Amino acid sequence: MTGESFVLVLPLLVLELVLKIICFRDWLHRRRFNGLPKFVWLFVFLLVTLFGPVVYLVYGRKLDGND
Amino acid sequence: MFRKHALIRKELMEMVRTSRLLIWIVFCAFFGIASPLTAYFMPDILSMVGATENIVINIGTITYGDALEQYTKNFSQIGTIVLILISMGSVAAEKADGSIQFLLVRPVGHVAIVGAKLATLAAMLLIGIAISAVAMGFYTWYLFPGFPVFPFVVSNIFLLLYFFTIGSVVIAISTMVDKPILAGVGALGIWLLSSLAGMVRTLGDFSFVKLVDQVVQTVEGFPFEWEPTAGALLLMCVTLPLGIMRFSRWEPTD
Amino acid sequence: MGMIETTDLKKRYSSVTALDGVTLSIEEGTVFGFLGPNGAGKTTLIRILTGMIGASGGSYTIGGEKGQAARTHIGYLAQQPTFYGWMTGRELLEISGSLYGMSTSLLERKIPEMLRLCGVEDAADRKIATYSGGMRQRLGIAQAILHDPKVVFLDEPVSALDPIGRKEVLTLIGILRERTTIFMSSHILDDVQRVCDEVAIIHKGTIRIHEKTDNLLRLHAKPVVILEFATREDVALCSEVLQTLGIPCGKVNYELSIPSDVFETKRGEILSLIGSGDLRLERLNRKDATLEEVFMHHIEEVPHVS
Repeated sequence: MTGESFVLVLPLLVLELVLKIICFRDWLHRRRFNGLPKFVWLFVFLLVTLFGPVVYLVYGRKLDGND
Repeated sequence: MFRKHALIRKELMEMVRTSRLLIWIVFCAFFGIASPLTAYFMPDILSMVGATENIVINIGTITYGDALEQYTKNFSQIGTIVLILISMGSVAAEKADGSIQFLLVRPVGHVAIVGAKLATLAAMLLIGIAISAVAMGFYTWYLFPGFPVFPFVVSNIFLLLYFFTIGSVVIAISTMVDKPILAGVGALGIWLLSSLAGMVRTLGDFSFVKLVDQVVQTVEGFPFEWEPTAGALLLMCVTLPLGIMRFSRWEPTD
Repeated sequence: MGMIETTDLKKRYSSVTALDGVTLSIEEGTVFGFLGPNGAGKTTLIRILTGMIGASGGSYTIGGEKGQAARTHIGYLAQQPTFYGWMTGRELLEISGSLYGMSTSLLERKIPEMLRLCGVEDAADRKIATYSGGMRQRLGIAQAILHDPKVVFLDEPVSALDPIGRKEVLTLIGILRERTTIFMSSHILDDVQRVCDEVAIIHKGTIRIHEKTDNLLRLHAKPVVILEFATREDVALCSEVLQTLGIPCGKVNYELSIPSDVFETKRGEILSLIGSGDLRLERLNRKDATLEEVFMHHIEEVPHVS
C-alpha cells in the first residue's frame, strides 16, 4: 500500500480504534451484561469491525432505568 | 416554554449518555469515508482476489458513480438496521421498566413526549448525515475528478428524510408496544414491505425507500420526483397518530 | 370543596372491576391513609388521580381542577419508582422542576434545599443507577415535593424499605404534613395509624369506611379479649356456641376475640362454657384498640397466616 493510500485509510482505522477504546473502558467497569458472558463480549467488540462495538454498545450493556 | 425545553433536554441527555449519538456519528463517518475508498480500491481488491483464484476479472473504469452507489446502497441499508437498533427502545423500554411514569404524571401531553423524541431524532440524524456528506464529498472529490460536490451535499437531504421516516416509524411502533424488540421487528417489517412495494409499478413510486434513489438522481441532475417524499410523509402521518393514540391509552401492566 | 374530590370513580378491565364507584372528599392539609389488602384497588385509584391512566366512569378534581391542569398540582411517588439511571439525582430534579414550569433561578434555590431535606445531597451528582433502594426512595420524595404541589401521592412509600429507611421516610412525611396534603396508600396498618389524620379502607374496589383516625379507633375499635385455643376445631366450636348465646366474636386462626365490655358482663357464662365443653384454652389476653381490628372487620376474608 502506498503512503497516500495509507493516509486515506487512516481515518477509518482511527474511528475503529476510538470505538474499541470506548467499549473497552465501559467493559472494564461493568459487571452485568446482556446475552453473552463478559469475556465473550470482549472478543465480540475487539474482533468484529464496526458492528462488534455497535452491537456491544446497543445491546451488550444493561441500560435499563435501574441499572 | 420550560416544559418543552425540559423534554428535549431529557432526550438529548439520554441520546448522549446511552451512546446512541456516538454510535450514529461514528457509523456515518465510517460509511462516508469507506464508500469512496471501497469504490476506488475495488480494482486492486478484485485483482488480489483474482490472483489467488487464478482468474482475471475485467471491470470497466471506476467513476464517482460507483462511489455514489456504494454510499447510497450500503449506507442506507446498513444504516437502517443500525438506526432501528439504536432507537427501538425509545418509548417501549421506558414503558417496560416503568420510567415513562415520570413523564406521564407531569403536566405534559403524550404528543409533546413523542414530539421531543422526534425533534432529537432529527437532530441526531442531521449531525450524522452532515458528517457523512462532508466526508464522502471530500473523499470522492479527491479520488474522482469531476465529482459535483455541491449537488451531492444537497442531495443528502433525501437521505436525511429517508432515515427520519425509518426513525419515526420505529418511534411510532415503539409507542404501541411494550417490548423494544417488537418495535424493531415491526419497523424492519415495514421497511421490507416498502422495499418490496418499491418494485411494483406506479404504486411503487410512492415507496419512501425510493428516496435513496433521489440522491443519485439529484447528483446526476435529474428533476425532483415528488412521489417518494409524499409516500414518506403519508407513512409518518399514519403511523405517528396511531402510535400516539395507543400510547395515550397505555397502562402499566403490574 | 375538598382538595381531592372524586365522584363515583370506576375502573373496569375486561375481566375484573378494579374500582367500583369510589366517592371521596379529602380536605386540604390532611394526611390521608389509604388502606387495603393487595389488589384492592389502591394503586389503580392513585394512578387515575395522578392522570397516568383514565377512568372508565365518574370524575375527579384536584385543587378544583380537572385533567392536565390537575396534574400541575400534584407530586407522585410510585410504589417501586424507576428513574432514568443515566441521569444524576440533581439532573432529575432539574428536569422534573422544569416540567412543572419552574424557572431556572427558582430551581437553583430549591434543589439544594430539597436534596438536603431528603438526605441525598452527597449523592446528588452521582448517576441514579448507583443509588440504593432507600436513596432512590428519598430522591423519589424530593422529586414529588420539589414544586410545592398541593397534593402528594405516595404509593406504598415504606413497604419496600428496611426498618431504618422506613423510619426516615415516615419522619419525612411528618415534616411534609406542614406543607401539603398527603395521600398515601399502605397495607402496613401501624404506619398509617402513626402518621395519618384520616383513613379510608378499600376492599374489592369499594370504600368500606372513611373516618378520622381518632374517631375510627374510638367508634369502631374497642378493646377486646383474646382467647387463644390449642386447636382450630376448638375455636370453631366455641365461636359456634357463643353465637347461639348471642355473644359477638371474631375468629382468626387459633384466636377468638370478644369485645371487652361483653366479656366483662358475660364472663362467668363464657368461662363455664369453655370448662364444660372440654376446650383447651391456652391463653387469655386483653388487647387495646388498634386499626388492625377495624381493618379485619371490614375485610371479611381474613388471609390465613400460618
